[in-house]
Formats: sequence, C-alpha cells, structure tokens
Amino acid sequence: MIKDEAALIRTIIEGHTAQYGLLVERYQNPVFRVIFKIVNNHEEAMELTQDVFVKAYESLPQYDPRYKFFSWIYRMAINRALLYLRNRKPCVEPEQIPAREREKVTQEGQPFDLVTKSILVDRAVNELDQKYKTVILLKYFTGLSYAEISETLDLPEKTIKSRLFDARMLLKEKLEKNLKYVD
Amino acid sequence: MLTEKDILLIQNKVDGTLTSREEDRFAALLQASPQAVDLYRKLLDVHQEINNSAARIPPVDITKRVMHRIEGKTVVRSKTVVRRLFSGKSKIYAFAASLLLFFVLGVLAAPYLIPSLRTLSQDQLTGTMVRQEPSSWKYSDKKIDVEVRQHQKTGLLIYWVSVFSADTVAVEFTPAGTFMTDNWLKIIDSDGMAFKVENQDYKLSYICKGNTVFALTDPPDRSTLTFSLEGKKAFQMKFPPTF
Repeated sequence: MIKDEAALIRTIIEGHTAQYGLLVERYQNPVFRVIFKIVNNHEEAMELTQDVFVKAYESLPQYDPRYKFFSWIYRMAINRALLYLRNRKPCVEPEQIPAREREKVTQEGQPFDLVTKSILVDRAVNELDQKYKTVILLKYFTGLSYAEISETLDLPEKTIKSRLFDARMLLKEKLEKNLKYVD
Repeated sequence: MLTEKDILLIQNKVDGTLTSREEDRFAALLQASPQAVDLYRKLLDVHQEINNSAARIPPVDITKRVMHRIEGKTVVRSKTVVRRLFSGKSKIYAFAASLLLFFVLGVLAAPYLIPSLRTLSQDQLTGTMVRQEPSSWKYSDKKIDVEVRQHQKTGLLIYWVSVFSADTVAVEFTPAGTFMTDNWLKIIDSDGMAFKVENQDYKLSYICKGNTVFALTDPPDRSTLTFSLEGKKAFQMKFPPTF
C-alpha cells in the first residue's frame, strides 16, 4: 500500500519518474473498470486507461495536493471516457458492442443463465442516465465510500446517497422486467 | 409508509455501514414494516447483481506500457528543446556550443567508455586494492532483500545485484561525474516484473517486483544505486562499496 501519496507525488515531480509506476499499479484496475463500463470495449478501455495515466503524469505539476489523488484520476477517467464516447463514430450498433465485448470478460464455463444475467445487468447499468451511472460506477467499480464519491464528483454526500438510491431502484425495475426470463 | 430516515437506514444496511445501535433500529424496522422488508430485499438484490458484474471484469496490467509512453514523452520534450535551440539567430551559437560540449564530454567519458584505458590507469594507481576473491554485501529488512556480489573479469568490475521484494521496488543508478549510457546497469533475469523506465543524462531507473538480478558494470567512483519502496528510499549504496 502507498502510505503517503502526496509525498510520493512530490518525489515524482522532483524527477523520480520511476515512482509513478506505483500510482499506476495501484489505480490501473479501478480506472480501467470505470472506463470499460462507459465505453463497453476492452481494447478501447485499455488504450483510454493508458491515455489517462499519461495525461495525469503530464499534469502532475498542476495537481492540487489538498485533494486525494484518486478523486483526481477518477474524475479524469470519467471525463476522458465520456468525451471519447461523444466523439466515437457510430459505425457499430451500440447494442452489438457490449454483447461482443462481454464475451471477453465473461469467464468460460459459466452457466448460460449466469452469462445472460451478467449481460442484462450490464445493459441495465448502461441504460441509466449518466448522473446515476457515474455514481454506480464509482460505488461498485472503484469501491469508493460515499464521502470519497462526494469528493470525486464535488457533490454533497446527501446528493450521492439520494442518487445511489434512485439508481438502485431504477436498476431493480429494469432487472425485474428482464431477469424473469432468466431465473 | 417508510420515512426518509428509514430508507437511509436500509440503504446503509445494504452498504454495510451501520453502527451497532443502527443495527438494532434496523432489526426493529424489519419486524414492524413489511414495506421495509420488501425494500431491503430489492436493494440487496440489485447490490449483489452489480457486485457480481464488477467482479467479472478481469484485472489488467498496463504499468509497463504507461511507463514506456512516459519515457517517450521525456524524449519528445528534449527534442523540442533542441529544435528551439537550433532555430533562428541562436543557430550558430548553439552549433558551436554543441561542438564544444561534445568535445568536453568525449574527453571526460573516454576512460569510462573504453574499459582498457580505465583498467590501466586504475592498476597503476591502486595496485592490489582490487580484490581477487568475490566479495559480497547484503541488505535485508521486512520488505526487501538485496545481495551484491563483486567480481573482476577481464579488467572489468562487475557487481551482481540480486533484489527480492514482494512489493514494487524502484532501482535508480546515478553515475558521478559522467553522462549516462545504457551499459551501466542491466537486467539479467527476473521471475516477476522488471523493466527500465527511464534513461536520462543523470540517472537510469528500473522497476522490479519478485526476484530480479541486475549486472552493474564498472560504475564510476561516487556513483550511487538507490532502492526505494512506496516512494521512500529503503537504502542507498555508494561505489566503490565498503565490503
């Protein structure tokens, strides 16, 4: 575990570039998961995750140590993925992309129902309004607490709790409609 | 009818953030309200489904690629500076300064780049100071083990540096009084992660994890080899080492 990230970042800015690998190691998976859930494509998510870390490295001198590094990098990741999504040419039907990509991340040998369920859950999350989806992504795919999500999105904790509740209820409604054919 | 406080209590239960006192309130609420039971089940179902979905995304490892791209960025920056220097009125001065710089660096680097030159002068000056038998040196704490063995082979001083750590270790070699070449420190073997991340004029950096063996060849006197964990220096070794 990295104990003092502020000190580590100072070290990197002073020229110890190699130390940046520690930050990448720590945050690469949550950042990747969030981006993957937004763009729904494994290769694109890999590329974007790299871009985010390179961009973050270049911007380290502008990093404000009053805030946590994770809130900075997650915000950067979400903005980068959303921007990418806006500019992506719609050459493939959006419905086809998640299905194709899900095959890569679904473990082999899982029962058919489990795979189908997974697809339906992913689809339900993808269909959420962005403000709900962002809270769900930060809660479940990075493991942040309410307070940390609040810091990352710069919103009051009460708003985060309220959005998470609404998001869960919306998801339940969508899942109930679809999962009755699976269970 | 559930109040806002009841809903918050149920949501906090799903997230596992209730205190023991709130747990009692939650149990009482479930006893008293079928609506609360229904809402709790719904929220818990969704919570589990999304958790399962998140767990199905396999982990990735992009550290090496990112560090490689960052290294590339450093090179690009250097090129930009050089391009600026060689444009406009300063072109002639920059060219003359470069010639002078290359000459000075060449003179300074010659003993280090040509091993025979260095060995000859060292033999004349130090006589029997270089040991014939391999010498070894160890550093060990809770998180890192380092063993250094010194060998002399065909006029070269070679240090075999074995590093073991379950955590990521940053290894930096900084030569004294000369410019950097790739040949000072090299990875020989690794059973975990090991790669070069930086090769600038003043230092050469690697990241490793697990067992890694480096070869350090003819380090100039007063050079340093630094091992860092979690951004903090674990220890620093100076050359020639005192065995």
